[in-house]
Amino acid sequence: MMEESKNVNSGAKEQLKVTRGALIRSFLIWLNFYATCHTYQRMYGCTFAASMIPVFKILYKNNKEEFAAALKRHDGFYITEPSTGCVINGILISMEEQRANGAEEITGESMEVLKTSLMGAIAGFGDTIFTGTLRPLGLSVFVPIAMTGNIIGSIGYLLFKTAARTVNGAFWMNRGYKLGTSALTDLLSSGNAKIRVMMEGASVLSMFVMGAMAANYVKPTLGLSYTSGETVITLQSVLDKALPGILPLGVTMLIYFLLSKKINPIKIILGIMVVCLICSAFGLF
Amino acid sequence: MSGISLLQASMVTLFYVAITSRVFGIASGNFNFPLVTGLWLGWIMGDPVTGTMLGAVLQTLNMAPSIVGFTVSMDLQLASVIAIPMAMATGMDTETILAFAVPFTVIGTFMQPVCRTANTFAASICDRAAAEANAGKYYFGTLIVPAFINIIFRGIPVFLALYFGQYAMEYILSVIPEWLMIGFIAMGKVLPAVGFGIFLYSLKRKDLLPFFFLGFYIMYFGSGVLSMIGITIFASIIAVLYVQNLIVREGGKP
Repeated sequence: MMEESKNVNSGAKEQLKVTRGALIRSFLIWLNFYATCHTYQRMYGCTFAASMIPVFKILYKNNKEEFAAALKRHDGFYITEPSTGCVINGILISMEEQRANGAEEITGESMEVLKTSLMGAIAGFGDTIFTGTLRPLGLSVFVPIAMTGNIIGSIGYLLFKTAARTVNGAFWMNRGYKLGTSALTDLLSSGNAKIRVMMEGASVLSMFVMGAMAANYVKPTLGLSYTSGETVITLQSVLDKALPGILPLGVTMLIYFLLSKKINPIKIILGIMVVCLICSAFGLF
Repeated sequence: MSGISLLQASMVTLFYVAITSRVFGIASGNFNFPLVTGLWLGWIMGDPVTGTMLGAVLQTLNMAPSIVGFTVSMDLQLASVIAIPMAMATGMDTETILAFAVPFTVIGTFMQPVCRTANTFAASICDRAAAEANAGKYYFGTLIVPAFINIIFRGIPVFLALYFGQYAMEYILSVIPEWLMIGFIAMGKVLPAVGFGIFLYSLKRKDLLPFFFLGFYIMYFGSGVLSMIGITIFASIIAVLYVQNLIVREGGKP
């Protein structure tokens, strides 16, 4: 490692600098195509490496071996929330820049460790704030519009999400590159109450909203009825009076319970299908 | 029945391959949503407005967020690409389209591992490109080869299902017994719960469950009066109160 970086250093007199254009190209490759080459062994790894190419083209312009080694060290297992995850791309670009300029303490392993340890934390953060809150809010606004046959419901959601993703990604990429490794302490220090408070608030908000959406969209009803004299009493109307909301809430909590017993969601779905067909065969619906 | 023409089946297939290969870049991820694809599928089938409505109906199967790292358990993308053109060609009503789409949400999840495994081949091209320090070849391996894999493993089956499946579909709809149809419709009403269950599980916050119940019952009794915007306002106020309380409990400083 040390020989290699000296090698890079000896040729370059002036400091190597990642241009703004390269940064933008890297950002676009990542956010546009992160999921193209999606495999089980590496998840988004290959595309992460591909997104670093514009940067490597500047940093390791005249050094084929370093270029190859750099590509190799970035194609390992990598998955996170891609748009907030841009902060990791930014940090790594700044680390690669320092390394190419002779910072010998930055090794391939240290970058690897940083990537794998950050991606989980960023996924948790990005999912809570971004996916967990913005997505259901967007859906809850635009789905009812589209239901009435208004194409704004469809286009509006597309624009809303794309814009949110791009702006969020660009913000984090910039921040990651500018702050470099110091962005880490900024993001991950347990003392960073601002971020923790934000995540707590977002969690409460999304819990509440998801509860409301569950009431809106989980609607199993029973059709079984019996006739006493003139009036027809359905099982559903009895349930509604005695235990309001028990079916949708009960089913949701049952699924939650099964998941926490580590049962595969696909098995749960198949189970629901079988139970529905059996109940239907006995005329329960 | 107007049917799906050869041109329409090809266009839908091309559209599906394009979105799975991320031809639309950042926007591609949103084409996982029937809400978004419905419009364009409808446009191909000659009626964007109906397409949008059907897309919104399919979207109700999963309104919850999908969390990174969690296996996709319902492939609404495949379901919409097959069910929306079929529904428009055969003139299904909304309950039938939901029932019809349900099996495809599961079939899609079985296809996903196939593509990811096949992508290992693309990754091996990347490995060779990296060893040769060949940037162009690396791009080819990550961006272009997976598209061809998508054509083979996603495009061709969808084309066959649409173009030849429509005749089978017509027959199936005419002979399917009523109880079976009712069973499928019931699935369409129960399955949205899976998304919410996964959400609760992946958030891993048992202590916040009361907020879920609160939201549920406010909407349960207030539906028709309360809009989602209204709910969001309540939710924001409660979130702020909770956070303030949290700060006080921990001794002042945020």
